[in-house]
This record gives sequence, C-alpha cells and structure tokens, in this order.
Amino acid sequence: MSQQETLLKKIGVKSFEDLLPSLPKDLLFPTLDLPTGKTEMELREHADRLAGANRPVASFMGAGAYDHFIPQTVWEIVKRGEFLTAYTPYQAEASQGTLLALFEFQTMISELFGMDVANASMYDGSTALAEALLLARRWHMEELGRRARKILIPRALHPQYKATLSTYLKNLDVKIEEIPYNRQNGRTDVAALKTALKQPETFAFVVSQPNFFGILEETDLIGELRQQTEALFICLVNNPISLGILNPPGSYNADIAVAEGQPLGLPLSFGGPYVGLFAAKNTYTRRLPGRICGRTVDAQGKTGYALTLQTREQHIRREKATSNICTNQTLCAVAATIYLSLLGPDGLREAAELTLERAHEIWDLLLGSTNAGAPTFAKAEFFQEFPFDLKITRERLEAVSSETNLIPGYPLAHDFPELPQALLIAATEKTKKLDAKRLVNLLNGIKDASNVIRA
Amino acid sequence: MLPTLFELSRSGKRAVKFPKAAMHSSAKIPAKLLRRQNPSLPELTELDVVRHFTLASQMNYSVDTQFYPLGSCTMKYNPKANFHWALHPAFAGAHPLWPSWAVQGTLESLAGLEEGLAAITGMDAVTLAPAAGAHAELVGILVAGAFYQDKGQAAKRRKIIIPDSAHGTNPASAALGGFEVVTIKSTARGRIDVLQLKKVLDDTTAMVMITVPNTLGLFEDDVLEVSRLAHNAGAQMYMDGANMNALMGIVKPASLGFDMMHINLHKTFSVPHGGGGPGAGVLLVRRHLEEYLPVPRLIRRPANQNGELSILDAHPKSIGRIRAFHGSTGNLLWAASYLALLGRDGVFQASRDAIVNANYLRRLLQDAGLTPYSDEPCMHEAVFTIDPKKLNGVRTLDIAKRLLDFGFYAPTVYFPLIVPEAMMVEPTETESPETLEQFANAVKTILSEAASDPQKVKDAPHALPVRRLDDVLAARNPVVTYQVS
Amino acid sequence: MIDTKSLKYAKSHEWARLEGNVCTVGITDFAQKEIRDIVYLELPKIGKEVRQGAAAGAIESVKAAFELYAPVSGTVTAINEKAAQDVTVVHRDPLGNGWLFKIECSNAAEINNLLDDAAYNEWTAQGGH
Repeated sequence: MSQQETLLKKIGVKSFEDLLPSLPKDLLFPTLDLPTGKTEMELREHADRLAGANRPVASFMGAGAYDHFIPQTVWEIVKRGEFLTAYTPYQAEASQGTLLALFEFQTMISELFGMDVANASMYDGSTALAEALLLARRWHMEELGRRARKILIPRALHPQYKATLSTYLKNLDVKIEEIPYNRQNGRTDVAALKTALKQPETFAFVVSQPNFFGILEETDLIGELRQQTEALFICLVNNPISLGILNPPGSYNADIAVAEGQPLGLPLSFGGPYVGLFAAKNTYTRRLPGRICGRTVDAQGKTGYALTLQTREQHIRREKATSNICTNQTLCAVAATIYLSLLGPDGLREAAELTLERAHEIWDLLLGSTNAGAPTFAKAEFFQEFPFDLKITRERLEAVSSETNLIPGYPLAHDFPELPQALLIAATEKTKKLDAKRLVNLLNGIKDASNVIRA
Repeated sequence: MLPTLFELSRSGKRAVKFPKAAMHSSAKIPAKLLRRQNPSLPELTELDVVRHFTLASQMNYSVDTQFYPLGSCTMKYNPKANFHWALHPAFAGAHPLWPSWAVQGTLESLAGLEEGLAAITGMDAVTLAPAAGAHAELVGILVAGAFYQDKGQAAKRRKIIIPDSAHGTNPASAALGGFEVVTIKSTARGRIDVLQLKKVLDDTTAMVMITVPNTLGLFEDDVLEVSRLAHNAGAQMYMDGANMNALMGIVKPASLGFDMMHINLHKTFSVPHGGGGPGAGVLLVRRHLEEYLPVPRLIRRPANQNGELSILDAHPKSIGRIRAFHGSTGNLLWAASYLALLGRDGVFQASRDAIVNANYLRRLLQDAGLTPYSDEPCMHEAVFTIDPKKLNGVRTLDIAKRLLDFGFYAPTVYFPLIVPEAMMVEPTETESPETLEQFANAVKTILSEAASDPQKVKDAPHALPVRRLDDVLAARNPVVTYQVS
Repeated sequence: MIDTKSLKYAKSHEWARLEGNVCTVGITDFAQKEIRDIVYLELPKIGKEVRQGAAAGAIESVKAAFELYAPVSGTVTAINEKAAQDVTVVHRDPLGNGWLFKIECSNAAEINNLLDDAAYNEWTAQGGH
C-alpha cells in the first residue's frame, strides 16, 4: 500500500475523492496547461539560461532605487533559515529573534530620522508615503474634527510615487495640488508652498529631500511653515543613506518621515522586495499603520518583545483598521538593521560622503566636456543625482546605450514635458571612474570601441 | 534575553569601512542642511554583529527547524533549490527602470510565472505588482471600481459583501478602497448563508468577496449558486486565494464563477515567509477586467517583431500604479522557480497531499481529544474548538503556548472570529505522517496535563528563552524604541 | 458606595447618571470583567456632538476593541483624563472614579429609554449579548 492509501485508510475514507464531497464533481481535476516538473539540475540550467538573457551593463540609473554597496555579512545572516522561514511573530515567545531585530530596526530608523517612533515596515517607499497621507487625513477628520480634502505635493516629487498616491486616494475625495519648482535651481518654491498652505481643508504637505531631481530642498524654511498650519508635514527621504550627512526630518519639524529603505542593504531586484520606512512623532503612535514591536517583560520579569498596539490592525479592527496591511517586509527590515549595525554612524557618513563625491565628479566631467550639453539647473545643489540637458537626441541616446551596454540615466521628458532634453544621472559610492568617463564620452557623442562594455 | 545592539555598542568600533572621500561635504552642501550630530547608531565589530544576529535567530521557531502548523499561513517547506534562481546576481542586480533590452531574462521569468498561474486558476490576465495578499485585495477592489466607473455605475455600486468568517484584510481593504462593507453571518455549517446573501445582494453591490476554501477549511458548497446570484445582480465575484494550496489541479477558481482572485505566493508558492514578509501577491482577473489592471504590465511583442517582452507603462483605463516599481521581483522569481520545479503533476500532488495531511491530522487531533468545528472532511486545514470549562480553565492560548515547549510552533488561535476558542491547524503537504503523529501526541499530553496540572499549561511556555510575555503591559505602556542616551 | 439603583443602563453596557442636565457615563462592572485587561481608552473629544446609541469612543484590550456608545444625545463636556492615563481605575472602580465622560444632554428625557438596575441585571443574567 502506498503512503497515500495508508493515510486515506486511517482517515477512514476509500479514496481521495471521498474527501471532497462538497466540490462540484464535473469541475474536479481539470487539466493544467503546464510543463512537467524539473529536477534540480534541470532547474539550474533553466535559470542560468534566463539569467544569461539579462545583459551586463554599467548604469547611472537612480530615480528612487540605488545600487549601493552591500556588505557580505548582511545576506549571509538574512539567509539563515531561522529568519528566512519563520512567520509573523504572533507567538512572541517562539519569535524573539525576529522581534528583537524589529525593535532594533524601529530604534535605528527613529534615530536616523530624528523621530520618536517607527513601525516595523511598509511595502515600499511609495506605499509608505500613501499610508502617511491616509494617516494625516484621518488625523484631521477624527482628531481635529476638520474636513480633509486637499494635499500639497511638490511637482518635483518622484512621478511613480505621485501615481501611487493618486491610486490610493482615488475613491477618497482628495485633491492633489502640485507646488512648482524653481527653474534656476530646481528647488521647490517655498513661497508658493506657503501661499498654497492657506487654502482651507488642506490636511498635509509633502516634501522630498532631496527631491526627484536630486536637488536639496530648503528644509529649514519648509519646516518653519509647519508652525503656521494644521496640515501635517510629511517628509519623504529620498535615500536614507543621505542621512549620514543631511539633517534628519525630525530636526525640521516633520510630523511623519517616510523613505524607501532599499539602499540599506537590499539588492535592486527589478523593483522589489524593498522596504518602506515609516517614522513619526509620538503624537501619532496609536494611528501608525502596520505592525509595531514593543518591549515588555515575561512572567518572571525578564525582558522580552512582542507585537503591540494590535487594535490598530486589520485582524482586530477590520474595516476600521488604520491600514489593510498584514504581511509586511520584515526580512528586508532585518537586512536593513544588519546593514546599519555594520556601518554604524561613521560608515554611513562615509558611504554618503563618497556618494556625494562620485556624483560631483560626474558633474564636473560633464561641465568640462565640449559637446555633452548643459546642466538643467545651473545653480543645482545636489546629493547623488542631477539632471543634465543633453545635446544628443533621445533616439540616438537609446541606440548607443543599447550598443554599448551603458544605461546613462533616467530621461525626464515623459514625466516632465517642460524638461525635454533632461537626463537624470545618479551615482553611488560604487560608481567607477572608468564608467563615468564612458558615460561622458557617450553623452558627447564620441564613438569609441573602448566604450563597449562586454560580458 | 540578549542585550540589544545599543547596549553592545562601544565608541570607535567599526565593521565596514569605505575609502575616504577627498572632498568634505560642506564643500557641496549648505551648512544649514548638514547633520550636526551623528545618529546614535550602534558601533560594533563584524563579529559582534554576526554573533548577535546568529544568537537572535536561534530564538526563533521556523519551518527549517520546527513543525509550524500555523493555519491560514501555509507554512510549507521552502526548497533550497529555489535559492539559485531567486538570488541569482543577474536578476538581483537589475534596476527596475532599466530598458527592457537589458532585462529580457527577468521579463521571461515573470512571463512564465504569469502563464503558469493563469493555467492553474483558469484566469485570463495577471498582475504581479502587489506586494502581498492585502495589497492585491485593494488592487482588485480598485479594479472593480474602475470597471463600474467605466460602465457608469460607480456612484450606485458602493457595497462589498463579505462573510463574517473572512480574513480581517478583506473588510479593511474594502474600506480603504472607499467601499461600504456589508458583513453576512455564516450558517451553522460554516458556509455562506445564501438566504442572507439574497437579502443584501442588489444593484448597489459591487462585489461579493469570499475565501475558498473558507477560513474554516471548508469548501463553499454553494459557490456556484452564489456566483450565479452575484452575476445576476451585476456584481463581481472575488476569491481570496489565501487558501489556494487546497485547489491546485483540484478545481480552477474561474470555473467556479470568480471574476477575480488573488494568490499569496508566500503561502502556496513557497516564497519563504521571512518572519512576516516580504510576500508577494498576484491578482488574476477574467478578460472583462483586464484593461483596468494596474501598470506597469508585461507585454510580448508579436513574433514578427522578434517576440521580445516589454513593459507597458500606461493604459487609459488602468487604475494606475499601486507601488513605485514593478513588483517584488525577487520573490516572484522564487515562485517561478517553485512552479518550474513542481510542474503540472507536482502542483496537483502538492494540493492533494495537503488535503490528505490535513484530514489525517484532523483525525489524529480528534482522537487526541480536540473537537473539530465541523463533522465534514476538511480541505487543507482544520479548525477545532475547546471548552475551557471542561479543561479546568485551560484556554486555547494556553495549549498554544504549551505546544511551544514540545518543540512545535502553535496553530493559529482565536481565528476565525466566529469560532469560540478557535484553533486552526494547517500541516501542509511537506510534513511527514510521523511529524503529524508526534504533534497529535503532544496535544494529547497537554490535554491530560490540563486535567492533572492545569497551572502548568496556563504558565507555559517553560522551555523557551522567555516565559509568557506580558502583552497587557506592552500595550498599556508601549515602549517601541530603545532609549539611546 | 455607589447606589446602582440611581443609575440607568444601555444594553451595550454603559451606565448613565443624570444630574441636572449633565449625564455622566461609564461602563458597568459586568463590562469591565468581560473585557478583562483594558489597555487603552479612546475617549471622545470635548465638544463632540453625540447621539444616543451611536459610537462615541472605544475601549481596547490587547486583542479586541469595543465600541463605546453614547447612552444619551448631547455634547461632550468633560472626559476623565485620569482614567485615560491609568486605565486600571476602570477595573477597580467602574462606577465611581472609573467614569469616562460627561454629556450635556440635548434631550434629558432620552434617559428613560435606558434600562433600570433590575432590567439590566436581568439582561446580564441572560448573557448580555
């Protein structure tokens, strides 16, 4: 007798179908149009063939996801089965490892952002921003008893974040107004923001530091505006590594700070899994979306950790929950925690400084070249990326890019028609000087065999 | 308990160093924007970090180390063979905004996953964008909203009908999508009450959202009738596919009348759960809903244009974006690998074994003294209820905590909400009969302890790094960060 | 000692005591026992307009949230800040120092829609659901 037959007998049925009495008989056991299963050896060949179809390239693409250095230790630890194959720590006593790491994660993110509290992660930076706006909306309606109909966002906000916000707010009767940027320096127009904040029913304003163009905003002046409005100030930190050298959002009055945490030890992975960082002032603790880990004691008074403030969440509050999020990005949060503990404050500062230097080296090279073009914003102050108006046509650029396996950056024309020639160019501490020279040659229209990057 | 990293920190220690920049940041950044004080991150050596996290990991129960019968979560074994594809540097290094010519291998992998999932469910179109099941629910709800907008019925159809046994994410997602939630009670048999449904179903209904098999581990035997009624009322049928592990090769959700559904790839398709995430959700729809799916979407050029795959970034009827980039690609590759490994016969075998295992465990636990919620055979999981009055006041929570002492993770407890003192057990197909028998023996022992020494059970766990944690204190006086001085 | 006969009760387990036109509201001893470990009180804002039988706040335990319904209509004029700071007072003294909020009634006669002590005791004896 096969094991299946033995088990069926022990269960007390004759056949497998006897276990399915309530399923419609005529629909049972459909044919599946799938290939047959592979052995592990065949699977590896198959995966390698597909991997070979991705091209090795040099890239200056940033725009919200950055190729920073990941120390070996991060994923050596993350891949441990005890972290990788556990689930949500509902049984806290058997999940102290994950809970401790989340408590440390929350602490580090709060510290890094200069805020009081952080949650245990959101899906990504864009959904963290959307959830921050939902929090602000409920705060205005429920806590302040006000109408909440409008948000202010910079025109220079990440276009995919804008798109995500508008999807999340689609059915909630919220108007999204854009604040323009200054054409000389690429900064958001603080005076325009100040005027717009006087409009009634505005419940939040968003500022991205740096903004989507990589340009540093005047967060000191923007923070002062918070004192004259009830609208919540939500700061999107474009890359948390920048906080190694930049003022944290807590220092300039942000109510909520969010970020894409991918640069903290996560590979680019074509868009995910990433990790949304979400930090806030104490006032908002009970309104945070998602899971929160708290410290407590056990029956003998020893320190331990458990998920807490769960009445905010969907499994208890259902349609009245602060968010619908359940599964979050715990393992990515653990990776970020390991990354930050390996770098420490000085390592983070060094990574940020080196990134800043690499980006400015490219800027200088481009400015010193004859035929590349001109900076989109003549008076740009930037951290790791900047836009540059090219002379070369878009079509020519795409063709040369594909021929040379060099991806020069993110063309802005589609999202910002007012910047038809602009290319957003990013660096990290990993950017190689040789690749930077290739980039400058390419943008100068110089055809050179040494330009081609080979597998 | 281990000390935190902040307590281990000593000034001047370092694990990772970078080459020194030649330039000082103040040369390029206005002084008023520069950070005046370093963040209080811990300062540690690499060994400090490795030892801390390794020791921390050893305080976790996990599928790799323990039987993890957490109902509704499908804690199956995650084959190591899938690491290769999922973590391959050629895929891990790809930037989400690279042009499609650079990432054909990634796109081919994703296209294969889309086709496979469509084949298993009978659905016509797929979006791989959602980050998790709840995210996919929200997308499905917005897709239905966009469909009714297009048909001029959006103002009227404001209602989503959800049974009281549903996952909490269903009503939470409906509310987030701007809809009104109408809850209907389940019947005594744990099924949708068709009479109740008829009373609330009308032309203001946008969607009927049900879980199949439901959260009691039972197949909704009136599902075809429910679909017929919903469609007659002009509403969409949504299937919460959290329990898809019971259905692969058993029945296709499309054939049951569903217009849309989601699958939690971290459950059925073996993406490791990661301590609570990251997961990956997938929303699948029938043809009439396809054009409303979020962007970006994967499209294949016709064969005469080299048949390459590319990314569709905009579509006039799409609900738009639901996250910054394409999806949790790293996790999608994990699922693609699992699907390739199992193939046609393997996925059927997985569901079949999951159902047989669940029924075997149900029988074992019944023999051990637990009361199943239902008399019928279960699908991939079974729900039990206990009566603390008959167990000297021992509650489900106590049994769950005591199981940890026996080296088993606990089942899901107090869910579904409609079952008093509920305990939901899902063994999955990857556990051996011997493991299930050992688990049932542990339950039997605990039930006898409840008779002889109930306090021992109420005080559990005894053998873990910490004793029972005070979650009342944690909630009354929340401490959610370490106070770095 | 509170004279429970001086109170009126909602089926949702709030008690109400009318003095002049001001109604003090709390939860009953039965309710605090059912909820077990209260961890948080979500009290209405002062100035909030409430309607008889409509949700005015919530009481939370670790794994559940219970709506708090206004037993009469009117405007919230006071909340018990001390109880919000130390929720255990609701367990220790639900009818006294564990009061939750006060309502300036818009129609004090509404209080007659509530149960009296005897009727409430009968209600809880049946399970109170």
